[in-house]
Amino acid sequence: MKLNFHINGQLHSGDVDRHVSLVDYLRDSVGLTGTKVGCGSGVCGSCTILVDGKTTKSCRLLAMEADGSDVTTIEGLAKNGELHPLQKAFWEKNAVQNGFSTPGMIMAAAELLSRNADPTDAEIKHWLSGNLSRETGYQQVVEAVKAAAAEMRGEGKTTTEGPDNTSIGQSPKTRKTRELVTGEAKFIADMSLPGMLHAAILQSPHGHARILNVDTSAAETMPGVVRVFTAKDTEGVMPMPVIWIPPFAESHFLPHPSGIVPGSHSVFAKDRVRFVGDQLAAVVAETRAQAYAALDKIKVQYEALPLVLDVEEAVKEGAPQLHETAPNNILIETVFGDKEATEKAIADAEVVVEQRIYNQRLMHNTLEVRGVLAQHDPATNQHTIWANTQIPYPHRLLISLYVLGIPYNKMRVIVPAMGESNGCKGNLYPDTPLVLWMARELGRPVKWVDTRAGFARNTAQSRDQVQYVTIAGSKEGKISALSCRALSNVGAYPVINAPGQPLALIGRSITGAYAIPQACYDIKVVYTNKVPTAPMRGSGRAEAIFLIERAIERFAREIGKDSAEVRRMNMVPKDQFPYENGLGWTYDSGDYETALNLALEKAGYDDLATQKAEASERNKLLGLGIGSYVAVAGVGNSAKMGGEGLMSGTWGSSYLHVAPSGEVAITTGAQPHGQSQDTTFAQIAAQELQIPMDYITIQHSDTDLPLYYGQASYGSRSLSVEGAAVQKACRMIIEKARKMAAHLFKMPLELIEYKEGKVIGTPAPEQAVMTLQQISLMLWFGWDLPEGMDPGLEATSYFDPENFNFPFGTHVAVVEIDRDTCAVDLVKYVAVDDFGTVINPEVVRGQTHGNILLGISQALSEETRYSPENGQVLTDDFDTYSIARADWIPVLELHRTETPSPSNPLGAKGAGDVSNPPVAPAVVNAICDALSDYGVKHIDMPVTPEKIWQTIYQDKAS
Amino acid sequence: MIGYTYAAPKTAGEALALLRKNDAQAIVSLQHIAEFKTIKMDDAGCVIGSRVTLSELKQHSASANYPALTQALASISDPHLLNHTTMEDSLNASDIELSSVTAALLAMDADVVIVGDEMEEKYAFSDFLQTDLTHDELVAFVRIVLPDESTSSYENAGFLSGSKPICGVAVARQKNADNTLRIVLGGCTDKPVRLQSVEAALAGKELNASTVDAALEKIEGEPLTLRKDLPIGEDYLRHLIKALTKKAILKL
Ligand code: FES
Repeated sequence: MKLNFHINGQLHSGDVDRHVSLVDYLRDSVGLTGTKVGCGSGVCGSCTILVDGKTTKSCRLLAMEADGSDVTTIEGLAKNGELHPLQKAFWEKNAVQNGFSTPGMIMAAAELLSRNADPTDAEIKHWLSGNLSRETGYQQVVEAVKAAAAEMRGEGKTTTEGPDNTSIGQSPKTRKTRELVTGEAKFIADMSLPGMLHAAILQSPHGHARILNVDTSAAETMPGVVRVFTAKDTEGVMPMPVIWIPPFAESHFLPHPSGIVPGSHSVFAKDRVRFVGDQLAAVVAETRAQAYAALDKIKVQYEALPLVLDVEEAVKEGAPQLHETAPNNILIETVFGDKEATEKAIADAEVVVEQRIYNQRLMHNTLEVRGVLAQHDPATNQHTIWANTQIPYPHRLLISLYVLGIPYNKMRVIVPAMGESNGCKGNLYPDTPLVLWMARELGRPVKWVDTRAGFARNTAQSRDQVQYVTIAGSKEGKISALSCRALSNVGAYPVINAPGQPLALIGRSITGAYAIPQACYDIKVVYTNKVPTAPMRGSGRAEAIFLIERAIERFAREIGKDSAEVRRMNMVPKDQFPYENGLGWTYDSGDYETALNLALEKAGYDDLATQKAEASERNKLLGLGIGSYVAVAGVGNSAKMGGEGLMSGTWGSSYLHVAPSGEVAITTGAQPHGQSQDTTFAQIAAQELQIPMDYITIQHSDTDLPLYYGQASYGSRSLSVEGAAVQKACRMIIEKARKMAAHLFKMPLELIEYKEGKVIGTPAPEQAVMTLQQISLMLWFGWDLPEGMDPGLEATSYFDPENFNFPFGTHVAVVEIDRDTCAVDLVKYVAVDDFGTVINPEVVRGQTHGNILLGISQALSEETRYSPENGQVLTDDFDTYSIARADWIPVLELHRTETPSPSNPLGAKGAGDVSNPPVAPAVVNAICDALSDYGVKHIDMPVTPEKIWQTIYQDKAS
Repeated sequence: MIGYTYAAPKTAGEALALLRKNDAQAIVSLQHIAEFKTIKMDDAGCVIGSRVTLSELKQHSASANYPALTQALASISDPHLLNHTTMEDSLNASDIELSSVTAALLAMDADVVIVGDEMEEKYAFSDFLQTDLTHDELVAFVRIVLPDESTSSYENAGFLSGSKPICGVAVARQKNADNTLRIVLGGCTDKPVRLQSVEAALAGKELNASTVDAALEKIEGEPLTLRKDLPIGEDYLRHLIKALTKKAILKL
């Protein structure tokens, strides 16, 4: 039907099918891609626009319903090039990280401010509770909305100008943010190429089944369909590789034809599906809608096989066997620490406390799903993919070498603007090489962007570990031993780095912030018919810290002592660094007790009894919980990682180039996806080179950039490893500039100083002085070079730290539980973190908010559920998989101590994901404290009101 | 795309004329009928047009007279839902997202006015739920009688899962001699239902924790059809129903 409506003030007319949603119409037909799609079902708010000034989730409105109305999208908010106060404020208050949720948030807030010129925090959170933000959190968003409101009332001013001082420790405005607040940034779903086709991929309805027949004939005749591919077409495509093979453990991987590394799943399952994300066929069609319509017409005959979803069932005699290579479904089995000595210490201890813990399966559930756009040029044999991946260089290597067998030099990976990852975009999935392979087969670009439901089945999930924990010590509170026997659910296949999380990351971290004389971790990594698992924000450290923090709490209660005091008694003292924790980590530096004391003081610990009494009068049970932590970060010494089994270097790298114009371009091995390395790395370079930050460009996200290899961003490594490489490259540049100056000034090198972006011959500072630009020009001319010096001012640097770094801190949560409904209300949250030297405090603050949000969400709500009948993922949208909303979160009070790390010259420690691990234990400890009068010892996460009710009422009754 | 017509009539008469044609290819938008978009207050109560959005209702001073409605509206935080849900939508008793408003309307004994070919008919909301409209009838208004005093309330369990109100209870004191209560449960049931046994047990009683507790024992006898797709188990849900009903009653 015909449509006429105004879009951003312009009259628009067009034809539309009556089934097309407004968001699809705006994005696909009008080309306004600033409005994002996160769920398509009206829950996430990414697609929020204004219709006649009213907040509207454009995925829930048909395009035809907008007829005659006035539509405003994010693209229409800025007027005459001047950003709207909300856009400025979001930027200024660091409410933008990866930016995927930003347009929707801003548009929703726009209506709020048109109705309410001075909203309170609570009003803003309530209003925005239909807009999810997974990684940025909500606090900076609330601050931004208030700042914009103030400006609109004429009481304040937001600005797009950054502060003059950009040095380390300051917070200049983040770069590449303007395009995120205006909706101009192109994410993978926003991209298109001429002649582009669209792919849809068929997943299995069964968690475990034999494939009897795949009939694509009906699909092939559907409108717009170009080709339908199945396993019989992809014989020549190799399975995914695994690149983490622990040399010290018994392991049972699958074979890979390369003979170099083990294998994993294939682009299409051949005769058997082992989880519901196993791929069976792909349709390529002229439009996305046509591709998905045809997908429904593919008929597959299955013979359902017995399922196993639970790890403890999977290792039992007689359980369904997933892989011939893995008897009893065990992928890896090993022990960290001295098991015998630990068992003896437990046997000798005065007090022994045991607890079974299930660290539940989470979904990364990024608002942006995964997608790939691929192109092959037959004339040059150039293969190019655009993908929202955390690991572009590894993609290039693994796809070319291990999957498609194409020349490395004919493969290029480009990362467009990218939504959050939470770790799930750090793997190689079969869909990615498949899309490239299909583009080559068809001779046209092919794009595949997943659906929310598809994502729930094909994208790695995380955690999912059963732990039997024993903690032992004296009646006074001194802990003498800790053991953990664990089973990790790795799902149906190992993803590229699957063994890392359940082995080293948990196993070497279980003693947390404490000096525990004997500790051991006995682990089985087990196959089941669930989606494969992989690291997720906080990865491994989250499972480890949860268990030790719950165990120490249980232990303190058992001996009737204050758990804060028991923590103090056992914490690694500050004069003991570097400290060997007995499981393989050497803690670099720290003052754990100071962080603990500060957190308790800020949380009002001394006053706890009064707070409890006051809450009780309101029919609430108040509890306070502590989560102290140390988290390994900064991957991180290639040899050590090699020893753990990672088949890759983990050094940082950078390439720095000073153009004859004096402009500096730095290519980093980091892969930003919301962490603001464009800003923080430029701050480092500006400080080292003593030049304005504006002269410096940071480059990444394209494997054709002049860098040998980028090891990417994960596990809180970017700043302390890749950032240190940037610093090193700057120092190499200064060194060369000084040498050149010594030659030109005819002075000894020792007399050449580098200061304020200039080389200065100190004996004659007025005459013997050149700017970096002048030196770079002289080096570019190359007319007069010292003996042996090459022309040009550039440097390639590598930084491989001798050790990891170990950020630490203590978080405290205070909850209130309603005695009647058992609803949990988080009323206070205090975090004290130590990330070593901090380059940009606002950036780090934002990341800390994201970490805390995820931890709260894990503690209270998130859990991936499966159908026991067919292995289907039951939690495949944001209603069934509920993530924390704005109105769940109290004001998060963040504090920092600063203990530099000796592991890198910046003194930096990781920050991106390390402050997640203490959150869930702090919240669960708080709940158990609130319920202590009921004798509650432990409740597994997510601690829902229902579980609380069952524990305190129902269990009692029975 | 081919063959569909679209019309956005401005009056109920025009709309009814179009609807009478019963053309399957015709899309008739009722968004622009001015008379269905007004809220009128008089001494007897409030008349809310079927095309009034929840957001307009929430902002209108009239809603303040009906605490159950105000509280139900406050429990919906998503502005999209408020902006794009009309009064008529919220009469759809099986929509869990709107169950708070539906429960409040039923507790307050709202009437639904239907217009059709030269007719106008008024149904009690509970009767309306049993009525099938023909293709040429339209919901025109919802009428709520003005209570003597602020005597209604709504309670729901937030923070349970997702964005949907999976259990909510609306209570309203009736304008009759006994001041009997109408207690309506929504969200967890297929459609909002009155807890008549509890209402009966409380008739003529003073409302305090112990009388309410005693009356809530009667819930066990209610033939409740609980939804099967809820993210919580039945035992806890039954507990929650009691806890919320008690909170809602004692809030009066
Ligand atoms: S995409 Fe519309 S609400 Fe999520």
